[in-house]
Amino acid sequence: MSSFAVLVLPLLAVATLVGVICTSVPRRRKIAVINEQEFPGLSRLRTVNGVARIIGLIVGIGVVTLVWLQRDAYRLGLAIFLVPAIFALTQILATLVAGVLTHDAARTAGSAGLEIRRIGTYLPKRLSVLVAATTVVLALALSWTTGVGVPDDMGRAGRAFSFRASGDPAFTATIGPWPGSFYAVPLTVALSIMLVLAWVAISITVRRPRDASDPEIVRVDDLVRARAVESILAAVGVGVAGTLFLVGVLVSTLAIPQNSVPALLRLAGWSGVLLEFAAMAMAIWCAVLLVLPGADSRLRQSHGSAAAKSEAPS
Amino acid sequence: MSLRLHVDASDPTPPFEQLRRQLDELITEGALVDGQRLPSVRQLAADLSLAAGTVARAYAQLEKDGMVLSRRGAGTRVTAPPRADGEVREERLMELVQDVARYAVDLGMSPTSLTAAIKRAMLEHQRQVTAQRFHTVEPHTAATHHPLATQGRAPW
Repeated sequence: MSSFAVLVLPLLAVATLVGVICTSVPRRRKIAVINEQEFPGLSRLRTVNGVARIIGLIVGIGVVTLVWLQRDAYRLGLAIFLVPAIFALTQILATLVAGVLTHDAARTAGSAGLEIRRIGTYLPKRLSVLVAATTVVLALALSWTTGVGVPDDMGRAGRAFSFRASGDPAFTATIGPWPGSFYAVPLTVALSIMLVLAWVAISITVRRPRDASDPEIVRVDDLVRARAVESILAAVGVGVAGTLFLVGVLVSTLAIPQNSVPALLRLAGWSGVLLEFAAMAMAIWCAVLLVLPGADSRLRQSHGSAAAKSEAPS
Repeated sequence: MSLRLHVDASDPTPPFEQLRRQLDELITEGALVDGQRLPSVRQLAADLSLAAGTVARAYAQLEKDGMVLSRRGAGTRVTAPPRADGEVREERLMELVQDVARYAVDLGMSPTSLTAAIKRAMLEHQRQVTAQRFHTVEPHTAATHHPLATQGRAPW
């Protein structure tokens, strides 16, 4: 099972990714048209965000390649587990830098619109729910694997899993590597940093000042903000789902028939297989969103006077 | 599109007062309704490139005038119910006229000379406004303050 996962799943993932990209490109490549002479700030806003996204992807792939090459140098393959989180961090940082560089791009000196900007306005609902659900599942999975993890043959805590064989209860078997505390603790630290940074990046994106009294600025700026927030969420999705996929790969060793695993643990193994596929699909979709940001400006009506009026108690 | 606020850096009126006056007008005209939430001090200050203290001062002044209510965690909301334009104008005019009449009586002016002085002042103001429209006067000498926009205070 494990060798199947290692060899076939990446190929399956790449094939699916290519397929999804091919079908999604026409739908998601709509680019905001801007009157560049009248609104040079908006033009800069769009360009900087676009370039930052591309640079982020290139840097992210480069960093991930470096980490992959060093996978055996530190803590027995821990780097492999950290790859999704590190990749997500580079994407979030790229969006954060773009947000800081274009802080004043949508501002008109001395003018403002009376609007209330909220993070919720720009969060894509379905993606947010999916990312939140995946984070919860990952947290539960890591809690369980940490709770049941045992030291390996070299005494390294939380790197193996031990069980009584189904055929002979007197016989105890140990399998590893296991995503116990040995991997889960540094993973939790990395993922926590990623989540905090994502929250900071989303806050900076949404709080960036603008002149909301100009409908053209609002139109383009909303699109840029929505796509930036979508990219940040998609990066978190890649980080969380990618990690869950790796955890699923290790847990799925319990489903290998050669291991005399009791029925209940075999069920856990098959759950790992299911998690593996679900996480892979999620990671692929999030990667597509990163490569082809297509959040549109059909944001929930919370801008302008209409929005402000909705704030008024009835 | 949102309601527009504008702060003119060349206007001798302090920015907080410009802001307060515009919000006051929006509330009085009914463009901002009772219970409606205003942007946070930080957001509006950032949008207008002003210090947060400037916006906070404008909000505090509006709160003092009973136009808005600020609560920690709940933001700032409009509290004044909208009133009809004519009613508001009449009320403000009467306040100003009463102040003027009081000063005129103290100075020993007759009703005829007071009426003539008001006529002269109105004509002068109209001339300044027209000149300002065609950019023939310096910003500092132009009348930027409509007397009816001042609540309960004589403009001199």
